Amino acid sequence: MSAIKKHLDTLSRLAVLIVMFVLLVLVSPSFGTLTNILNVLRVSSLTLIIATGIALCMLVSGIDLSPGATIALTSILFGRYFQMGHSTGEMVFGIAGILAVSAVIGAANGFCVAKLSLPPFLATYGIQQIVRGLAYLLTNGLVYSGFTEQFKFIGGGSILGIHTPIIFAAILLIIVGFLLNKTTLGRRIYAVGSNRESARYSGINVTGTLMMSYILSGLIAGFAGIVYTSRLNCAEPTIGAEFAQQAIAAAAIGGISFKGGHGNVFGIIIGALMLTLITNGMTLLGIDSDWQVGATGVIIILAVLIDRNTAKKKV
Amino acid sequence: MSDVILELRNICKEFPGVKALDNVSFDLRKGEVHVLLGENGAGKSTLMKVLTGVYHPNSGEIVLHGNKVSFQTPRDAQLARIAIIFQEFNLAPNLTVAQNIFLGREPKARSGLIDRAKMVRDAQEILDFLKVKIDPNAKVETLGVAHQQLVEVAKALSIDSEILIMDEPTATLSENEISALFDTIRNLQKRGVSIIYISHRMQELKVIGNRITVLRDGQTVGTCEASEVTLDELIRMMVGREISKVRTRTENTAREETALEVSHLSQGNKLKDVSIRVQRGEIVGLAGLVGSGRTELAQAVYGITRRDSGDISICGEPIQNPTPIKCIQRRMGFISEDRKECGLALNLPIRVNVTHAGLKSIFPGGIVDVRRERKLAEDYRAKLRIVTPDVERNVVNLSGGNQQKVVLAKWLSTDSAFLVFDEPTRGIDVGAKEEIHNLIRDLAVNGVGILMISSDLPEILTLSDRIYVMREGRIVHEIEQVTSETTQEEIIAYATGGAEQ
Amino acid sequence: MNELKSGVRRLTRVVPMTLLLLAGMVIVFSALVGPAKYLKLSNIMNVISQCSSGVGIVALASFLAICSTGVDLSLGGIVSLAGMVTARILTAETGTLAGLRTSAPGLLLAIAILASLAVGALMGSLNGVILSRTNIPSFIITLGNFKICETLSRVLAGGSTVRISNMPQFEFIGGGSLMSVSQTVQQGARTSTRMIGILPVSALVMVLLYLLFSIIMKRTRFGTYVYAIGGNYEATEMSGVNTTKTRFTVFLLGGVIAAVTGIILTSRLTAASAANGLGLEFDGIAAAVVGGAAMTGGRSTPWRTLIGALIISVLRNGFSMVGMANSLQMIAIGAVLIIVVAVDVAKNRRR
Repeated sequence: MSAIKKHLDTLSRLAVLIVMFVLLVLVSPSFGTLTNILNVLRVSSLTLIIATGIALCMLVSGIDLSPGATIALTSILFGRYFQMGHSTGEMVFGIAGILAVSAVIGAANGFCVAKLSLPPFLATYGIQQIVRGLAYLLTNGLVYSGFTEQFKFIGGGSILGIHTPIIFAAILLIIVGFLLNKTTLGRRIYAVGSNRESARYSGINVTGTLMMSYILSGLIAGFAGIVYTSRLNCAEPTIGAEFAQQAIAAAAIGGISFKGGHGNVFGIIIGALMLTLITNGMTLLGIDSDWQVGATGVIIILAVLIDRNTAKKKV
Repeated sequence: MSDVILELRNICKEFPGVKALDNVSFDLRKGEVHVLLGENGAGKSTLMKVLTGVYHPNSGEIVLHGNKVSFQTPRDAQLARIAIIFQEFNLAPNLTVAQNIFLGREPKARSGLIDRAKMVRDAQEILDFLKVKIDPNAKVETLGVAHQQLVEVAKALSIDSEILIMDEPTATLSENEISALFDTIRNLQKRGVSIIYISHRMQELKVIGNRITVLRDGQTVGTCEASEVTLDELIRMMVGREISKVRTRTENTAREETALEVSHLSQGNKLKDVSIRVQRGEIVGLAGLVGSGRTELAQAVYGITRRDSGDISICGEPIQNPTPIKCIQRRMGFISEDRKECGLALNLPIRVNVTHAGLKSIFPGGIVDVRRERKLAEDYRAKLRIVTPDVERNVVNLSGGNQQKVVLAKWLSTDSAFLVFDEPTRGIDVGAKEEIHNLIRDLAVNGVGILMISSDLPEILTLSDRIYVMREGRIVHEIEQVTSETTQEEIIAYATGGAEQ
Repeated sequence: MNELKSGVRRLTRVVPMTLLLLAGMVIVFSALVGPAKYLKLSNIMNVISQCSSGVGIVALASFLAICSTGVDLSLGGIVSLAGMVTARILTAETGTLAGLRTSAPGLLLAIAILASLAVGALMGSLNGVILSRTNIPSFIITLGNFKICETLSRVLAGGSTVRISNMPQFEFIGGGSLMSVSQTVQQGARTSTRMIGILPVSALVMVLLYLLFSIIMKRTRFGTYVYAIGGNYEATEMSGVNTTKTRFTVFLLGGVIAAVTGIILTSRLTAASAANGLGLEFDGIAAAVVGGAAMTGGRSTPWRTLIGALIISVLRNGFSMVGMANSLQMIAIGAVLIIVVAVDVAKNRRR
């Protein structure tokens, strides 16, 4: 009984998700086919990956607006520098290099937030601007495309009929879920997000924990960049502009509180799926795709308003 | 002089588990300074909050000018010409003196704009009346604390208050500033303003007060004319009940090892050349009034605030620039007085809170063994008798006493050798209080050094082996050996400065 | 030494430090670009009209939000939407609006401007309603609202840029000038004469708005309450000030101010695209903070904010004149934003 109560938040969200799914199937029976379900999962997976990173920042009562730019930069870097001679070894080297770069971006965010105490949205916006500027700078006005088959497999392949991005998202969620629930870092993240002062009194390294959250978010964005570049099979400095907001919306619907310390990976999954279903539903209803982008704005606002953890009346 | 303008009759106010005010009666005459005296937690602030509409009494009535009134909000009280000057800072520092005085009531010129000239003029008039030299156009942040306090007085006067409540107005003032404030108060008296004056400082009560009412444990002990009472009598009234002099700890278990050694610690005007020592196995009480520097001392040791000078060593190891992390490494723990802000992650489960302080030592590999974590939480739940259906419950849903036990569990699980308890039983019901006392004793018997800050004198007296008394940032007295002869009067006398009279 | 310090302090009270910074930047850029080219009248007027059709007016809205301890990230979206609404009404092809274009262009213009301001007020009050009644962080609500505005603007644009032609009255707002001087321009071997406006309408609108808000902030209850909320929220509430109403009004006015920018920007470009104005919300924050606003609220004034906005405009213009690539400009502006806010935070922590 108490277990149900405990997970009421997640369960009610799951219920809404199922209702949405059933409604969509009723409207369009083909929606329920395995192919389509896999497709929905594939579309969600990128949002899911990015949202997982942003959620780590939200859990320490921060935010990360930079993933979109990180994706653009990593994509350019890969296209321009790391593709090189097309051998597997070089590809692996390239991916490692990109993950290192994205970790540095995350560390820059973390430094601004944890060491300089800047408001997270401003710090990560500033870094975002710098990173996207770098992406433009490095393109030389070119679009890079024509990647190797091996690389294209990362984002565009499938194993046993399941698209690779879904598999990557699943692996990432398992890792992050483990990190949040079964490691001391996870405990520290929740402690810092829930009450920074009490965490400090408990001898928790608040600065280090904040740094870790932003570095992980950067790493995850870099990873998303690799998957996305592979799926697009091209590298451009403009890509990824909508990603951060979409991921924030997914995290918000999934019950990750903007006040920090509240939310879990199941929430992120439900949130990302719900967002995709909403978009899908809008497509089914013949709503223009321009509207679909803006729906994320409405969703963010509604999600925080409904969430009782965030929307407390001012006292 | 004797016409009563305000009467509080049989006021009762209960909070969940605590009876904060029990049948308190109080009256105020026109033009008098009526001092409200009592230990921390005696109910003075609660009574004033009832009077100013912040709290609503469970029973009893407020009679103003012979009419029964009931204030729903602080605004209602203001409209009835009752103003309160809080201890905490209540001005907008970036606005000018005049803007602050008239905030929310700015005079408008015919153009609809604020009539600044009139506002400054009126402010100047009030300041002149108070005989203070403050420029009404100066920004409040450029003023010293004393002047800021006077601006609050001016603000209270500007609503033409008839009753003015001052909560510890001299706590942050120097001697000169205090005498200036007293001049102001006398001026106000002449104008017919009645003042309720809350203070701990014994010396000043008889200087400024006409009558003194003593509260204790939410009850009125008595009211007397200031000129007819001695300080000793007042102290006895505050302390009241003769507590059982039977000390439960008969043997002194203090060991050779030092748990804490602080020498010549100074920090701004908060701590002045403080030296203390705590042995392992010893309970040392740190008594003093609120603001005397007790918590500040503990925070400086724990690295929450920076000290200016002085040496600190914990469990024999000197510590250069203390931080909570370094202190915990040296087996120190800190049970803060502010559970909600500094002690607990309220929206996380009990199980998770219990391991927060000992994450590194309990799970050295960085991997959390949830089963072990749960067992640990369950063990403490049983040992400390934390009342909860299960340890997965979020801490926010527990009562104050049980929350405090979770904080204790957190520190017990770190295997500390030196623990600071800052007001360990404040706002906690009697049963839980007794349990926490027993626990503190057990810890000492097992060799933990304990520094206990408490405003609850019986608590200090029954538990401590040794007692330091602080006043105005200094250690003013040390009771080497607490015996059955040690009295609360002795402590109060030093803490209030009454001993110097 | 102390005398020098107090002297500097007295000087900065009369002449803000930022004005000296602005002057310093102008000197540096003219040295880099060459004074003849950089200090040319046409370039100076270019900076001014860029400022008044961009960060200049928006910064005022950013200042209001920051002063009351909030932040408004929807401003750029509102600029885009308001500009688009203006353009759509002015170029309506059917119905009464289309008829008005030939019969009463002045009336059509008035309708377009009013509608645009109304849209700004509406979007601003959406922020205000939520943020004045809850304690949700303002950046998240205004970010959501930004998305809504951007989308509405895109939908109205219908996938293309809306161009406005043959509307001289409208073009006058963003491109016109009350006074012009003729200047001979040497282009290679050819010499031509060009008229350069030295009293641009948009700059006048900007200065008037700042004048208005300078009075509002200093001389009205609303202005005092905005500062008071930024200084000490609890004390303000305890003093009986209706803080809910004040915060609501801050965001409502922010929306209207952003709409004014939208109208001017559309007029200057004689076209509205959904991308117009996006990003101005962060320029506005940078300008307000450079001008002296603290993210913790209650500091700075409208005039100081204007200096901040001019600094941002001079910076952007200077970067272009120096020949800095767009990408490098993005990086530089991002870095400036972070440095400026970091200095502000460090300053306040010391306080």
